[in-house]
Amino acid sequence: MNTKGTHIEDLFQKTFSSAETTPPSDLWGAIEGSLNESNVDMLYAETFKNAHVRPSGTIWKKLSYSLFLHGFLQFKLQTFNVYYAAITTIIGGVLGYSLITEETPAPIKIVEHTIQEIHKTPHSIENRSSVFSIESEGYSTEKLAQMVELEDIETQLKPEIMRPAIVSDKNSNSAANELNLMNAYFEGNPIVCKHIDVEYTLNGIPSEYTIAWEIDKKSVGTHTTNKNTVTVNWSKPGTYKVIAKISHKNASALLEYPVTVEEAQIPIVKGNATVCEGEQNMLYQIDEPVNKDLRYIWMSKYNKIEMTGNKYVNIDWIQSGKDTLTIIRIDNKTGCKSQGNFVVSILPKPTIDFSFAPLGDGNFQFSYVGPTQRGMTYLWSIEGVEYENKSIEHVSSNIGSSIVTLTVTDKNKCSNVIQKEVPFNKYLIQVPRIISFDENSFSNQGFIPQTNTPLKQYKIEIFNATNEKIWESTLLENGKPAEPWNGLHKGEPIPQGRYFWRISAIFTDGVEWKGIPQSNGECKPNGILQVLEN
Amino acid sequence: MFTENEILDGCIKNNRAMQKILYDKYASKFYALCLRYVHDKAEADDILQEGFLKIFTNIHQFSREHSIEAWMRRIIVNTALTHYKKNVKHYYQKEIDEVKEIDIESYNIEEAEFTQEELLKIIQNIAEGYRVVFNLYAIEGYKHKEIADMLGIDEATSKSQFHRARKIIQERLIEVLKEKQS
Repeated sequence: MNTKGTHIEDLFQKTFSSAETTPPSDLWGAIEGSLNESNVDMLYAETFKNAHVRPSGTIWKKLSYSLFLHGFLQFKLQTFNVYYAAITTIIGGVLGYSLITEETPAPIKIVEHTIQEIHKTPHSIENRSSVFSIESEGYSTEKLAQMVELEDIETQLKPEIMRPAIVSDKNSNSAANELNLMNAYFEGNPIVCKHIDVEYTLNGIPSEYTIAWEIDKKSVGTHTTNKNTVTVNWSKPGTYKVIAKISHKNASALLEYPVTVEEAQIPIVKGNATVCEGEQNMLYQIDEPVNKDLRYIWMSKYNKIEMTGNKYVNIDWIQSGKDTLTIIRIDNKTGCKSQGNFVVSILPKPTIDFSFAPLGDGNFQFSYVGPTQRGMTYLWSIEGVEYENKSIEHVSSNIGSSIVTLTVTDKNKCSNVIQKEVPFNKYLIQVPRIISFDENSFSNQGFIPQTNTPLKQYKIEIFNATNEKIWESTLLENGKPAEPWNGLHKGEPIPQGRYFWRISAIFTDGVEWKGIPQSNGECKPNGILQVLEN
Repeated sequence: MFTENEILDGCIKNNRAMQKILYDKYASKFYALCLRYVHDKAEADDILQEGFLKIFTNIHQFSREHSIEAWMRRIIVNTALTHYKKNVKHYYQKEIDEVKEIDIESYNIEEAEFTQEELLKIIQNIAEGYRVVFNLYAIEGYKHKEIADMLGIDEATSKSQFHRARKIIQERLIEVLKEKQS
């Protein structure tokens, strides 16, 4: 007869490989409902991915869901529903930000710190200089990224004062020195960025003089003049001159102001492009020399940046996936603003847990629980002892519980650590399994259970193979079993063989001893004692 | 009748009618599968629902040169394993208790017949760890190495759990036979 495994496997294989059981009739309805909901979620995320204004997720989803249920909308992400999205966005816009409710974030504070008042001249480019500091109070950085736009950022251009170079106007018959230009000075920025409006003002010119501005049209996008002020928007980098032609009666002279136009530099990020989820305080920096006129706004879609506003930041990689760091570079000297991106892959840390099982005699088995990959390494730290296998055995003699630490590192060198307080040797009673009552043997102290936690109540009974009770004891001393069994029954040494013990015990803190842990997770308060030949 | 390709195309486009056709075609088969991994029907309902949601949301990733049934089956099995892992508290990898000895010689399992319900009842009532390993090895046909990777246990543990499961099942089969004979 063959009752070996193969037959059992065949039996189950044959029965179940083509088995069918009809699921409950309402299950499809549940799946359909979940599909509708997840599609609405997906659609919401897709539709408003880059939107500045979003209608409330709850309202949008309720509306969409009911439209879907009534068959008015179809789930076609590619073609769908531009109109619908647009309409809801407009509604959202009309109703305003009050509708952006779902995860109402803490309000963002854009605080302007006035640094200093600069020249109180009526023509100063900025009569106030300011620096943004962005304080995020639990605000999602994704939202923040939406809020901070390059255009919205003010720069801190400080106009400088400069004596003009006075040159004779070759087209004039009169000499320049016939004009009183002793007090003339320019106010403006000698180094500026292209594509921003910069004002140049000529002061100290007698009011009866006329000023005509001469700007090289090839290098200028636009310029407007207003007697002694010209506003210029330079279109390409280079070195130029702002020239004012001063005339009075027959005399004229040219006053020149040299300007260097620069291009905005894209910030280049230096730092790890591949990191592990959970890594903290990782340093990233902009790859250029420190310059007090430069500041940077760093933004992350999902992770946490210490927004120091300068060249160096520390980032905590909280969420795995791909994240894009957006860095806005602001040059307060030239007014240049630019934006750079840096994509970081955040590898997930291994998901870990561990199980433990008592094996008896103070020996415990600890096993990693979680998906196993090639190249994983394990480091256990238990009571000051370290182990490096996936499954380990540890002998403990301490009383009470201990902290067990498991660190798992995967092939990408991403680590995860778990710490658990393991009460592995509390409430333990160890009972010998084999004994010899020979005086020369290792157990000549007799048969006595050991405990590592004091007992307040205790009873041990020994039975022979015919289920006759042959010995019992309830004696405790300092909470420990005090009376060993010397292998005698009615004054005679017992024969070798199998005997059975049964213990009931209560620890001093009132916990009842459940028994010796078994492989199936249950505990047995009884067991077999093998007595060897005396 | 729709061809498999038409059904899959429809599912990719999120066509509810096509999704329903796919569901109707395989739900009974997979429900029977789910029932083998769990204690009760409510849990099997959850796994089937979650499994089909995963199927529908990932169906665009399915490569047509493979069998759709095998692909879906794998998803359902993985979903069942995820449920198992959520519930599992301890793995005990050592067999230290004595196995109850049954006089197996006097029962001829090989020639006996068991209904699907009887076998399902047996499999549903053995300890969770044993049940999962037995299902994966004996019925789904995974190798111990694969099972070890799927469950995050040692290969040796998978083997020992399987042997233990087989022994328990053998005992239960005999118990069923005994009942039948009496």
